[in-house]
Amino acid sequence: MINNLSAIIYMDGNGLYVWVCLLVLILILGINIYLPSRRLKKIYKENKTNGL
Amino acid sequence: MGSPPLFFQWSSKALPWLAIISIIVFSIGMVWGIFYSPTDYKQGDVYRIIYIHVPSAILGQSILMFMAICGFITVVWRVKISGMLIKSAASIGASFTLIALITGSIWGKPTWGTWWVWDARLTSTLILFFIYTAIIGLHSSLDDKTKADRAISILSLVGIAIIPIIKKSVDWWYTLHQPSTFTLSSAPSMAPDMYQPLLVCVLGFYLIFAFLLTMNLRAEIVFREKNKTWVSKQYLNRQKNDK
Repeated sequence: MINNLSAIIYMDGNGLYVWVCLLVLILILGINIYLPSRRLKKIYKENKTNGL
Repeated sequence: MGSPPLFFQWSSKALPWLAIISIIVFSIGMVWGIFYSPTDYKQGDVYRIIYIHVPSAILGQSILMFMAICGFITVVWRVKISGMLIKSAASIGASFTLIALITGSIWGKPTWGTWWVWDARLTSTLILFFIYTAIIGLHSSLDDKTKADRAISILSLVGIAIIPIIKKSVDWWYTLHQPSTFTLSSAPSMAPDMYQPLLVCVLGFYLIFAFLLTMNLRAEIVFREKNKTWVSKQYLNRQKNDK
């Protein structure tokens, strides 16, 4: 277990590797959440413009 | 559940719950693994990448197997929603495989001294990523969505041949990659303190996949059936009322 904040961030010099991996994960998952929502919004807008 | 309107109706209620449960399980696994699991005596703290890398790699392979099952259903029984499921799952599978490749590469630098080696496990996982991109590309290149669904069903069924190669690559060839973390035939080589959070992470990733798949499938259904009456009634009019 890692006890203090600086140890959590630094992780004996390996912190950068771990945090970058977590960032990549969050970024790619974020894109996967954003894209279908954007697609649905686009269909709704198209529908609104066509007056359906 | 096989009919798009029924699925849409059901998923409207289930999606918020699925989001909450998946975020909770995913967060528990991540916090437990990254902050509370013990430090590895050989690799130090860099081994904590395992809590991102291994679940992503498992999902990358599982999603293709799921797509192949849906592909079989599409080819044999021509169930409309199973074709949509393959299309919706492909981008998520590609994403998880990409995460596994990137995190594996980052993990490789401090442990192997290199970002990439052309060994069997890494190369076969890269081929898996190319299979996903081929499926996505093939589907978007065909205008007739019924034909596109059948084409990607066949590609998924053929592509599944890569899974046993990835799984056995560490046994069949000399490789820098460590043996599989999860095996059905033997007990885990990791300490329970490290293994338990990994299991929670894997469960969290599966739940996130279910959540993303539901979101993608809903968007795919609305896109393909936007001219049908049920979509106007159930989705588009409700959106208008919400505003």
